[in-house]
Formats: sequence, C-alpha cells, structure tokens
Amino acid sequence: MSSSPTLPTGTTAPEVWLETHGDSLFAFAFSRVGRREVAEDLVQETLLAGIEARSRFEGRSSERTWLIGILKRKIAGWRRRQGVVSEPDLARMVDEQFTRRGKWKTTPAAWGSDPETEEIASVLRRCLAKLPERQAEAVLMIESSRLDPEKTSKLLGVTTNHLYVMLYRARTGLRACLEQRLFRAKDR
Amino acid sequence: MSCRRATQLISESMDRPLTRRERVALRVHIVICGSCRRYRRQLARLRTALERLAATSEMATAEGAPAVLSPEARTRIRDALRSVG
Repeated sequence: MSSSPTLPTGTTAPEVWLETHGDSLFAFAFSRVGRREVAEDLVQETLLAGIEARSRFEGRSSERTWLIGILKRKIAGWRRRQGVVSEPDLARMVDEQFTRRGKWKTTPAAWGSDPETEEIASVLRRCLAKLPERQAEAVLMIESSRLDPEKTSKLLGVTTNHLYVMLYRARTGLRACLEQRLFRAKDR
Repeated sequence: MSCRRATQLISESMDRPLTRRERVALRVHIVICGSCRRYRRQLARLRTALERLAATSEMATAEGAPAVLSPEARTRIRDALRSVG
C-alpha cells in the first residue's frame, strides 16, 4: 500500500500516477465491478478527477489511498447508473431467506464439488458487484485481505457489532448468489 | 433457537469467539438442523473462495489475463491524461 516514499506530501505528476497506481486502481476496480472494460474506464475517470482535485489533496493520506477514495466514488456512481443499488435481493437476502419466525423459506441446496477456481472467481466477482458497496468492502477486507475485525471496523468507521451484522448479510447474500449462479445447475 | 439466529451465530463465529452460552445453544440447534449445518459448510467454502479471489485477482482476471491494465487501456488513459494535463 505504500507509495512514493520520496514525496510524503503533495502529488506527483499524473503520468507517474498511471505508472505507480494504475494497476492497483485497476485491480481494486476489477474486484468490485467484475468487468475489465468497466474497470478500465473507472481508472481513467478516477485519474482525470484526481487531476482536477489535485489542489485539494492535503497529503494526510498516501496518494494511493486518496486516489482509491476517488475511485470508490466512481464505482458508487457506476453502480447507481447500473441500478445495482435498487437491486434489493442480495442486500436484503437475510430478510428474504427467512420467515418472520426465523425459519428457512427455502433451505440451502446441496452443492456439488467445486468448479474450477477461475469459474468460481468470476461468478464471485459478479456476486460481489451486486452487494451494497460497504458490505462488499467489509467482506473483502475480512476474508480476502485477512484484516482483523477491530482494524476493519475502524477503517469502515463502524462498531465491531455493526461489522458482524454487515458480514453476516454479505456472506448470506454471497452464499445465495453462488448457489443460484454456480451450484444450482449442478445439483444431483 | 431459530435458523435465522443460528446462521447469524455461525457467521459471527468466524469473526469472534462465541460465548459459552451461544456455543452450546448453536451446537444444540446444529445437531437437529441439516439446513444450518449445510449453511455452515457453505460459508467455509465461501471463505476459501474469497481467499483465493485475492490471489487470483492479483495474478489473473477471469479471462486468464493479468489483473493489470491492458497496454491498450494504458495508452488510452495516458492520452486522456495528456489532453487535460
């Protein structure tokens, strides 16, 4: 995560941004939107927005953290345009899956053996893109980056109890999404 | 214990140690509930898949190309930056 050690404050030239941060921004965007062309466009929009906002960068965070912050807003905008936010089925999967008395409405299906890692990864990215951004971020920090809950809740600005709820919702949504898109067809 | 509560505890047990009371109650529920047992196994598989995702997204995209900007995208972005810079 460290960047430009020689320039702790202030910004470097935009062309340097592309070299130093381009791939990181792309990997971040790709993990959220699951599509190469979209991720590339978001990186471009982010760097352009960064140039305009350059004077407001105060050097309180690293340049990359600052750019990722811009990227997150671009991703949120893209999701809004896609109508992802109004897709409540994954966001509220917990409420969808259980009756008012807390019983399973549809019980989890048996999953066959795992498909190829790449196939799972590709479906999982698409499922992540359908989660509310904050839930996706939380579950990636915990499960993929292996941050501990204390650190994660601080970074997200929520209590640990709230984080547990976000993770529960994210996992339940992802589980259902994987089942629907990956495993249902392969049932015995 | 309801299945909804049980699944919540299953998820939380991945993030924090459950209290003794929670552990006992969950164990009793899990013994009689195949659906929640399945949910627990599937969350473990989800965890593995998410861990691997971190590894694969550093190395490769779904199409097998590296998760880095393609040369074409890089050129396009560089041109766009130059035009405003």
